[in-house]
Formats: sequence, structure tokens, C-alpha cells
Amino acid sequence: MEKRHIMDRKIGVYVCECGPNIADALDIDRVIEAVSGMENVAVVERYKLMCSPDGKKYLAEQIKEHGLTHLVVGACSPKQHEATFMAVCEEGGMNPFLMQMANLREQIAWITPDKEKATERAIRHMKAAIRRVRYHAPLEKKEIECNPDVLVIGGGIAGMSAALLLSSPDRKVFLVEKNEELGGMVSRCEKLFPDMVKFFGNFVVTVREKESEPREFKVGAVVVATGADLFDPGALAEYGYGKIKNVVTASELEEMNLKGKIALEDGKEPKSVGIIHCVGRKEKGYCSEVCCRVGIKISRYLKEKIPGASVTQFYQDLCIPGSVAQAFYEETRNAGVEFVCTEAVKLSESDKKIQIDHDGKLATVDMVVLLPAIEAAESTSEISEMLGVKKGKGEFLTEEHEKIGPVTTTVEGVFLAGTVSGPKTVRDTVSQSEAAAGKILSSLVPGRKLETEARTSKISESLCTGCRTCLTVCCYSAIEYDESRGICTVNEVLCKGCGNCAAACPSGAATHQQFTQIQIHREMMEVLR
Amino acid sequence: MKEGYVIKATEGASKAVAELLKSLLEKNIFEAVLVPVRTNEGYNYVLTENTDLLNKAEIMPPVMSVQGGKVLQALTRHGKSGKIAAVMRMCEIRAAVELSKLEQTDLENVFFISVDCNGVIPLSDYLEDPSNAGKKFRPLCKICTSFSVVGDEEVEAVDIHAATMGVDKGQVLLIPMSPDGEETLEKLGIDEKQDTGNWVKEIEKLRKQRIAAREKALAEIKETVKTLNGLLEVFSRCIECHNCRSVCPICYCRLCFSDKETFRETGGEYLDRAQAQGVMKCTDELLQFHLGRMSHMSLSCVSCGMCEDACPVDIPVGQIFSVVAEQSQAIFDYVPGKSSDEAQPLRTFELDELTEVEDK
Amino acid sequence: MTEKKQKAKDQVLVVGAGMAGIEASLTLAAADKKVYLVEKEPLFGGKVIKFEEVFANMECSTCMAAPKQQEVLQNEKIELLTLSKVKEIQGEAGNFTVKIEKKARYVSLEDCIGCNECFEPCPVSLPNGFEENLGERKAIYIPCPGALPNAPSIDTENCLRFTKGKDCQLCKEACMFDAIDFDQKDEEVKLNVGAIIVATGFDLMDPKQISDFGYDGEANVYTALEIERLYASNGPTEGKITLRNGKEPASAAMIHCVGRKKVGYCSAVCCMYNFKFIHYLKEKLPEITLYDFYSDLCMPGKSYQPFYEHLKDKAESIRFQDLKIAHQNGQVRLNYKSLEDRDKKLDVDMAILAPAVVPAEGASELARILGIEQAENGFFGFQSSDRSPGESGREGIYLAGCVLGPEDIGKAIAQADAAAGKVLALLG
Repeated sequence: MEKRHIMDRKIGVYVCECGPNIADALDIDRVIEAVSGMENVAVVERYKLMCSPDGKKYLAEQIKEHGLTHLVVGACSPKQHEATFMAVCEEGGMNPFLMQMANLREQIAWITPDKEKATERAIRHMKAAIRRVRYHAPLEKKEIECNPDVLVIGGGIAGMSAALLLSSPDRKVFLVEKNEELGGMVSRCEKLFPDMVKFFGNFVVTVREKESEPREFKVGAVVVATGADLFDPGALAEYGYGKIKNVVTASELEEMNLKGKIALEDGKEPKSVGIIHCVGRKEKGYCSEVCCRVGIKISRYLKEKIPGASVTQFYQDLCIPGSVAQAFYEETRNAGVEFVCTEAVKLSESDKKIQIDHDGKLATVDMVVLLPAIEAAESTSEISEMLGVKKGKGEFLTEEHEKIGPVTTTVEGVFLAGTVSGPKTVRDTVSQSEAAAGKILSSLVPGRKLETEARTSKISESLCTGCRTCLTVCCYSAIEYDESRGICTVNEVLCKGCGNCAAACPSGAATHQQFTQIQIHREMMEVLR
Repeated sequence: MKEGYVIKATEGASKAVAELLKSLLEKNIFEAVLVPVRTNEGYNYVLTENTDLLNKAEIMPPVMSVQGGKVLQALTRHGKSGKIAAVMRMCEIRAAVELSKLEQTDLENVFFISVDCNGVIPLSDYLEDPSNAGKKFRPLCKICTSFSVVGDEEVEAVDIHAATMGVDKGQVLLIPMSPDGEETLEKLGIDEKQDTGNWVKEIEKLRKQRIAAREKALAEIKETVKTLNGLLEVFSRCIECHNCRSVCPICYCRLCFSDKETFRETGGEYLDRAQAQGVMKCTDELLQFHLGRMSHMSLSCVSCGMCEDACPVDIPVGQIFSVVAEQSQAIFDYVPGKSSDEAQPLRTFELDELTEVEDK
Repeated sequence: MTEKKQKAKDQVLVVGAGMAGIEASLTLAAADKKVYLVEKEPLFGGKVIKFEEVFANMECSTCMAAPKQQEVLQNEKIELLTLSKVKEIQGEAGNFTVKIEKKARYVSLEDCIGCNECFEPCPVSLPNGFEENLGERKAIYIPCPGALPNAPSIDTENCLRFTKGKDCQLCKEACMFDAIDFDQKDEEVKLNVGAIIVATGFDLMDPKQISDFGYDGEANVYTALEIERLYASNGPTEGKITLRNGKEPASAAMIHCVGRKKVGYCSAVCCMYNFKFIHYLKEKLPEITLYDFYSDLCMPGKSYQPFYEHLKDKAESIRFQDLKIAHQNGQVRLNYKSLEDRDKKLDVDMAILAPAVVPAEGASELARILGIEQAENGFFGFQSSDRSPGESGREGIYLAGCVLGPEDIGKAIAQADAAAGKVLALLG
């Protein structure tokens, strides 16, 4: 049955001259001659510039005139014009996935001056494309209804920023917060750097209050804004946290400050304070970005609330990037806060005070404030499991791409905002939240359907043995194991067509619809001749 | 040094282990046992709770008509069995473990009793004259180094090992290899224990001999197949019956790549190829089948030799596959069947994997 | 609502077609907005397309940017206007009237196929600014191989037709597609848009401004962008790292914080790209001895320090205070003060400067046109914690990328999507 279908194919083969680019670099006529007699080839022509308006019109007409079922275009890189020629196919009434391009320009004409070699290779590439294309099956892009509602997990500044930007009459936003109050880490600070202004409390008022009973609801996207935790300095003996009196963390100091009085355990005000940076930095292996500025902010609190107190900062590297942080630091230094660069710090008790050994030198203070590293929150593992977003560097959730995908993830529709994906400032957190909202506003438009990728993978029910190798290699959470049937299936909406599953499947049950074994085999047989 | 529980074997090791199995059934420690028994036709694995039938049990049948791994696949592919005790050779247990990594066996309720194996006789030799048993062996058995569970050859899945080599005649040493095995032996109330020193010595001595023999034999085979021409020659009499694949415990695909349409080209394509190459052998799929099968399963190959036994034209296919398996497994430091926690190479994905490769 | 206002609501102006501008445009186009993407250069992609690789995953920079660029070029909703600048803005959020000055390219983008045949016959040669003057170009040129749009432009400040009134037609004669048109004119394009996103990026301070660093474009003192172009496979040396005389350096020193005192802020990305340079230099010249002169290591976030740890053994790290560069017998002499205040010196073959990130050329003029304020250091927006970072101070105009201040690509992309989000929330 299959054989007969193959023999019905009518392939149109067109070689674009691309001006002098291809025409001068290889002997197009010889290429045409070499492929003319091949099985299923109905017509072979050359054309000056296929991507021009005339060229596209010509091609569409050729499809109709010859009743072509498949198309091969030898021209430039598919990156350049695959979309163009796929559109031409649709113009001509042909399914756009029944077309294959052979790259004669970037991969042949532009890399060798040897016309003979170029022609030989062009013949192979064209034959390979022709051999392959008749095994292409028509694929259809699907349109699915989308649910424009959004779930935001975490009601800190990240969650709230995203929720606010997303909310509109035709979209519901569900904001879920595990604590009783909204605001997260930022609400536990009196002021924020660099301008030392009070936190904008009006956010709390305008966001909806948490529901009290468990509810089930459907959403079209999820924004994960579950924040981060602080490293426990108690794990490191050199800081004496929990053992030496008056050694506190930055958050404990913020709490004291909010309550109204920064004091030692005996109630007196500290006359001298040491602020230790980079607590836990070596153990975590990364720099937590905000602590230097938090330390500077705290020294401002101290100078403001306890004028006359001496404040010394002990740091390894001063991390103050950006257009205003350095001015913030210099102002603070000029106000009398000392900054000491030191590799290692060891605290010990000395006469009811605290002795700071920094690289062998000694300093004595009444109180020490530790700036601990920011680490992944405990909830991160659970969220990772639940949503299929992998944990990565530092055990934080992994964004899709460090540079060009900071808020998206490999799971379509799940976004990250804030410190859940790594330490960052409030400013960058808000950017990310708004970015997640922006991406959602752009893709999940109420009433508009979503188009899915047509070139996805498929798993044959009869060939699948349920070994689940595909599950372990899918980065997009697009494969599910069906317990009742003992097989794996591909979710075509989530599938991005990367082909990992097809490559990994030990029994050939998983295939990529535009890179089937037969298609690849035929292409390789020609190329490797 | 481990200690073994001593059981009397005055009527031979098989009878002794059969008695052990009967006790296990009588005490309801297991619901059934999986063990080879002697039949009119030869030897067959049976799944039974019938203690009488166990009188015919043979723990080291001289022939391997079916690989134990395949038996367990048939029994547990669609879900766990009840609690059963299975008596099998090392290569069969390892094959079963490999299959469990592919979700083709479920060994959760399988209690393994392994045996010291001195090899099996090729089926054809057995059919010719059954008394050849114990005298003639499969080529791969002759060079097998994984016939017991000493040192490097320990396999996590084994619960009890029935040691017979280097052990006093009239005795079998039951060595607990897992906490489950220990617990079970305790339940049987066997008092006498003995240290396993002599057994270890005997196994190591035999292993040393086998290692040398294996090196030599595989080097010889490698010589014959290291070139394309060599391969073509060795496989020239292959009749493409695919017996080797059918009996292999690791080959479990519902539709083998070689039976798919992938490699079935059209007349025009074949003629084109013949013209371009000058000549094309018909059929052209022979080497593709063997090399393809090799690349698909050699990482899991346990060198049991079923394939060679099943080959009707006596191609040393088991030895050839063993040569390749040894090398490909070494690249990944992978020992098939040793531990069910050790994932098969090329079947896992870790975000940080690429950096590891880079650094290498 | 008037038809004009409705139309305006569906249209957005994005100024600057670097990574941030590209991202904002794509997100807006996906939301069915018509986007006018305005870029002053003849090519687009911003600074990122000048790099071969980006930290910290050392990914090929063009491989990262090119798919996004292609998407922009193929997206019907995005109209890319190169050689264009915003001249005037009037109106308010929801309804801005914008005047764009679009310089003539003198090459038809529809007819040109990018074959490059027109360069060879051109009689005018001059240093190529895109290549940081390390290579040359003609008066009709594309800035680098792989530039997009893949079509040349005529530089009217050097083309003989425009400077001397000569009737030179050599390029036109060489073109097989009749794509060169000397009669093209500069245009004024009027647009009606509902919102504006400004993503005009940054420049690097010209180290000539600080005599301490001995940079004159002739001695073996290089800027970061010059090293990027030397290392680039599509650059003037196709990836060979050489000194001005063509020889390979046996030693090189990277100097952080060049100009930091002058501008008063830390440029955020230089420590990281200097580590990247360690990788670059060791890759091309495995035997080279490297020195890394820094004041504080700025490597925030979960992946930057691990990147540094991976590379730090390949260079000697030297913490310095003041540093002056002199030239001594063809070598570069570094005179510096250590942290303990001791005077030290070091001779190297090559010095690489990491100059401060400064507002892009023309920022003040642009701020005036937009009607928004600049900070004292010339960047736009507010660095305060009670405002969203993308706000410009004028409703309907949002900011993204280094126009806000020095930062890495990841932050710029997030800001771009955030700005797009704000536009979509504003316009509906």
C-alpha cells in the first residue's frame, strides 16, 4: 500500500540562480541533468531569483500547472527563505510541509571556489532533498482555545507586580500566598536602596485578598514568584551565629528597625557595629548581588538611628553595579562608614564584646550584622516537581535562557519572576514580573486562539514498550506516561519539536514528524554516497 | 569475609536446593518458585508451588533453552508478580536487571537465588548426544568471567547465592547477599555456618583462568572482524533468520528496526544505487542488521551466548557481540545488570551533563 | 474614538533595534500590534552582534541574536526602519504623532540580494567604524559579513558622488539587479502611535578622554570592542588576535574600571566580559600569559561566579588602585599602586581596557525630543524603588535596556518585555 502511494508523488524541482551567487559558483545545468531522471520527478527548472515577487508567482503557478504533490527548491539557506517558499506552497494549494529546501548557497556556493567540487556537492544535496521529500507527510498547524486567566504563585513584590499589570476586565488573576500577609521579603524592610524610600504600601490594598477554602480553577498561564530564602549562618562556625551574643542577620536587624529600636540583647544601643558581607558565599559558590547594597543601607539606618555609632563594613568584593549604586556607596562612606576589604572573617567573644579577626587584624565591636547569601527557597523543589520546571544553578529554578529568555521556562505557559530564579534586586524583580505579564498579555489574548507547532513528535501506540526513556529526555514536559495503556504519549501543544525523544527512543516508537527515520535515511543515503 | 549457611547435599546440589525451595514454599515465605525442571524433552523453567514437582528441579540445567531474563520479562512485563523465588544463572539475572531499567521486567517481588555456573552445552551438541553435557560448552561460557558473585562480580539483585565450587562435596553453601537473603535464611533456621574462604579462592582461581582465556579468544575474534571485509566474510553465511535477535533477552522491541520500512527502498532507488556504486549486493541488509543490533543493545549485552547457540549456520555471533560489548561498556564504565540504580548510558539527561563531557 | 486614534492604539514605536528593541518588537507583534522599529545604523542588532560569544554560557552571540533578527525581518507586523532617527514627538499616551528622519540608503531593499558585488569597484576606502577602525570598508558597504538587513548603504560623507559631485557609477554598473538608485531621497516619515518604547542602548567611553591609559589607537592598548572584533570570526582578522604590527602577543593585561572614577559608577558588565576575554585569549593563544587588573570583582547572580572560578587559574589576578599606562620600547608598561599602597610596574605586550559604559551618542538630544528627563549621569529613567523601572516620567513612553544604565543582556530583555507589557496594558 505504502509503495503505491510513493509512486503517485509528483515532485517539482527548482534551482534558483540567486543572481551570480549560485549560477557562477556551480554548473546548474549539470545539476538539472543529474536529477531529471529520478523517480517521481515531474519537472526540473532553473530560475533567476526565486524569492522575488515574480519568482514566487512563477513557483505557485508551476505547482498548479503540473499538479505537483511535492516541491524541492535548491537555493539559499532555509533560515532565509523556508518561510517564503512554504507560503508559496500554500498559494499553490500544496501543504507547506511537503516542501524541502536544499541549501546550495551558504553550504556550497559560498564556501568553495572550486566549481567542480561545488557542482558535485550540489548534485548530492539536490538528490538527497528529492529522495527525502516524497516521504514527507502533510502536517497541520492546530489552533486551540486558550484560557486567558493566570495563576500567580507568591504574593511578594514579584507576584503583586505581575498581578497588577495583568489584571483587566476580561482576565482573572489568581494570586496565591502561603503566608497570611502579602508583601514578602520587601515588606519586612523599612526602606529600600538606593534612594531610601519607604515601600509602596498601596500595593497591598489593591490586590485581592486570599480565599480561605481550597478551590480548583483553570488557568492559561502560571507565574512562579515564590521568592528565595536566606542562608543560615549558624551552619558556619566562624560567625558564631547563635552562640555569640549580639551577632544578628540583616533580616533580624530589619525587624528590630521596623519595631522601632536597634538594640543589643541587654537593651542598650550599640556604640560600634561591624557588618560582615559574603556570609555563605564560598559555600554557595555565587555572589548574591544585593547584600553589599543592603549592608550599605543598614549602615545608613544605624547612622540615622544611632548617630555617633561607628560602623565598619567587612567585604570581599564590593558589588555595586549600575548607574547609582556607587554614588550610594560613596555618600555612605563619606558619612563616616568604614569599608575594610578582607578575605576571611572570624568572630569570637571578647569581654562581652565581639572580636572580629579579619585577615589576621583585629577589631572589636558591640554588634555584628551578618549579610547571608540568598539561597533557593525550600518550596522550590515542590514547585519544580509540580510544574516540570527544572532546578539548575544554585538549586534555583532554571529560566529558559540566561540571556534571551530570563522569565520564560522550557514549559510553555510557565513564567518565573523574582528571586525564585536567582538572587536579584527589587528593581530587577519588578522588571521580571512585568516582563512575565508582558509575555502573557501578548500571547494569551482573550478570545484569540493559539497556533501550535506543526512539526512535533509522535509516539506510535503499537510500538511503544513503555520504557519511558523519552520522558527523561524531554525538556518541555511534553510527554506523559499513560499508566492504563502502559505507553507514552506526546502533548502536541507543549511539544516544541526538538526531536530528543525520537533520538533517544530505543525501539523507534517515537518519531519526529518532519524527521522520520525514512526521511533521514533517504537523505543520508544520497549525501553519504 | 561472608559466612555461608551449610545445607547437606548428599544427593547432589540440585536436590539440596530443591529441598530449600520446598521449605520456602511450605513456610509461605514465597507464593511460588521459578526454577528449571527436568522434562521429557529436556529442561524447562516452571513457575510452581507444587513441592512434588520440585523433585525434578535442576538448578544447573546443562542446556539453556531460554534465557531466564526473557522468562521474567514474560512474567512481569505487565506488572509485578506475587512473591516468588527464582533460581537462575548470573547472566540471566543480569539480563533481567537490564530489562528492569527499560520497564520490561518488574523485579520488586522477585527473590533471586543464583548459582555457581560452569557453563552450558550448545543445543546442537546436546541434541546430538546428551552425554556431551559437562564435556562440551558454549564458546562464551568457556571464557565467562561473571559466573559467580565474588568481588567485582557482585550483583545487587542477588539475594542468596548457592555456592558449589570449592565447597566440600555433599554440601552446598547458601551465602546471603542481601538483607532480604539474610532474613530468609534466618527464617529457615539453618544452624551450621561456615566461612567462605575456600569458595572465594576457588572462584578467583577459575576466574583468573577464564580472564586469560577470554583475552586470548576475543583478541582472535577481533582480528577476524576488525575490517569491513572481515565482517562481511564472517557473516557471509548468515541467512538473516534473525534467530539471534529472537532469543536475545535484551532485544525486546515490538518491531525491530530491521523489519521496518525504513530500509526498504523503491526499485528506482536500488537501481540508482547499483549504478552509482557499480554493483549492489542483494539483499543489502545483512550487515546493517547486525551492526544496527549491536549499536542498539551492546551496552546491555551480558554475553550469555544464546545468540550463538541459536544460529543455524554456526556464526560466532555471540563472541563478536561480546567483543563489541566489552569495549562499548568500557567507554562508559558501565557494567550491565550490576545495579538497578545505575542508569544505562545514553538513556538519561541531566542539565549539567554537557559540562562534564566538555571537561573531559 | 476617532479612526485615527483607534489606528494609533494598534501601533507602537520602538526606538533602537538592539536586543532590547528586538525583544519588545516581537512581543508587541505577537499581540497583533503594528510595530515601527527605528534604528539609526544601516544594520540592526545593537552591540551584541559585535561579540563572538557572550558570557557566561559562552554561546555564539550571532547564533543567539540571528534567529530573533530573522523573526523581525519576516514578521509582517514589524516594519524595520534603518538609517532612521526620531526627530519630533507630539501628543500623548494613546495618540502620539512622531516624525522620523529616514536617510536614503541608495540601495533598494526589495531588489538587492546581498551578493556584495558592488563593493569591489568602489574607489573610496576608509576605516570601518563597525570594526573599531581595525579594518577598512568602501563608501558603499555593509558593516560586516552577516549584517542584517543584508544590503549595503552608501555613506554620503565619503562617496565621491556626494562629496565631490563626481559622476562615479562603478557600483551601479556592477549590480546585476539594478538595486542601486542614486535618486533616492532622505524622507520624513510621519507616524501615529499609541505608545513608545525607547531602547537606544549605550556606548563605551572613549579612553582617549583619560590620558592615564595611553590609548591612541596606535600603541598596543586596545579597547574591549577592539578585542571583540579581533576575536570575531567575521571580523577584520577573521579571529586572529594580533598586535598592531601583526605579531601575536605573548602577554596581555586586562584593565578593569577604566573611566570609573570619572563617571562615578560601576559599569556592571566589564568584570564578566574580562573573564570572557581570558577564555578568548587562551583559546587562540594557549601559551599567552594573562594578567587581570581589577578593583572589586563584580559578578552577581547564580551563574557568574562559577564562570569566574572556571577561568581564574588562567590569569594572574592583581588588585590595583591607580594605574597609568606608558610605552616602553614597544612594550606596554603598567605603573600601578597595589592595595597596600606599594608602587609596582609590569610590562606586557598588550593591554586591554574596559572603558565605562556611557549613555549612547545623542542621548541628550533624544531626551529633549522625547520630553523626558535624563539623570545627571545621562541615563534615562528613575533609579528609585518606588517606581517601576521602565517608567520614563512621561506616560506612554517606556524604557528598556542600557538606556537606563549599564546592565547585562538578561536584564535588558526582561525590561523590554516589561515595557511591552506596560504598552499592552495601556493600549488594550
